[in-house]
Amino acid sequence: MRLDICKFGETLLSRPNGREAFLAARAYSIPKEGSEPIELDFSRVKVLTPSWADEFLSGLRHEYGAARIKIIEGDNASVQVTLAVLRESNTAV
Amino acid sequence: MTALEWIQSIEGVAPPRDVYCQTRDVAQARIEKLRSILEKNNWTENDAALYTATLAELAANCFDHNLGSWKDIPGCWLETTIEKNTLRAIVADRGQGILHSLKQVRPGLRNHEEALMLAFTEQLSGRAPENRGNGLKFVLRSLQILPSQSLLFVSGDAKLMLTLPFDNTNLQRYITTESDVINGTYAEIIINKI
Repeated sequence: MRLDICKFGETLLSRPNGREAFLAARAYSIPKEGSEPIELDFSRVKVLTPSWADEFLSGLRHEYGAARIKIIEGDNASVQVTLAVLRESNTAV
Repeated sequence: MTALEWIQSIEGVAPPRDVYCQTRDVAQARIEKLRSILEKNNWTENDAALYTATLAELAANCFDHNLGSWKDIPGCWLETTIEKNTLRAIVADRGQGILHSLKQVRPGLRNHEEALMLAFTEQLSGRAPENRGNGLKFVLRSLQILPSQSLLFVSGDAKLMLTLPFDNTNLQRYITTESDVINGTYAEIIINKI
């Protein structure tokens, strides 16, 4: 399944909002059963911070396992730098 | 009153309304608005995005590390000015400062300079065991991509002064100990539009 991250907002800044987005995705967007890959499409996001991404991705990884999470970055520089920083610190991504 | 005067004053007073963000929500709303202002002023989408995210991380630190521990005035001073092709932003708080925050996880830290160096170079957070500590690394990375002029970051008596291009592998050379001690943290970024 593919999740358009832009549905949680174009400007994704804070930890509380990232946590809330994870909880909403778990409740309503991600199937309760099955093990198909979860594609996270960031290509329409305007601004992303490590704070928001860490809360959202850590929640998903803990709930569904890192192997199921696939990320589509897109061209936005804040998305690319955020995900690069999280990868380097081995958190969430 | 300037941000520096506010942060250095012994007695805490609320900042002017146009720069005062008492809560995280107020800071976030102002930062979100800034992105659209930058785009309307013909900043590229990527520069506006990175700048917005950088300010958001700096402002988030004010709240993440001081909630319930404010010295006197809660919240942060958030000031942005756009003059021609230059954007200047100040984010400051009268919180506990980096040394006090990181001492929760590194009790052996000896001074503000050591704490500032750690904050910018290691994935370390005063909020351990929460797995945090990426914000300032993101700030540095973004500033290297943006057409930035400078970053000034002060906490306690330690000052980090970066003017691009800077050597990311040797940040220690840009950190000095000053005679003045400030409350909390003070960050100032100047960026030029290409």
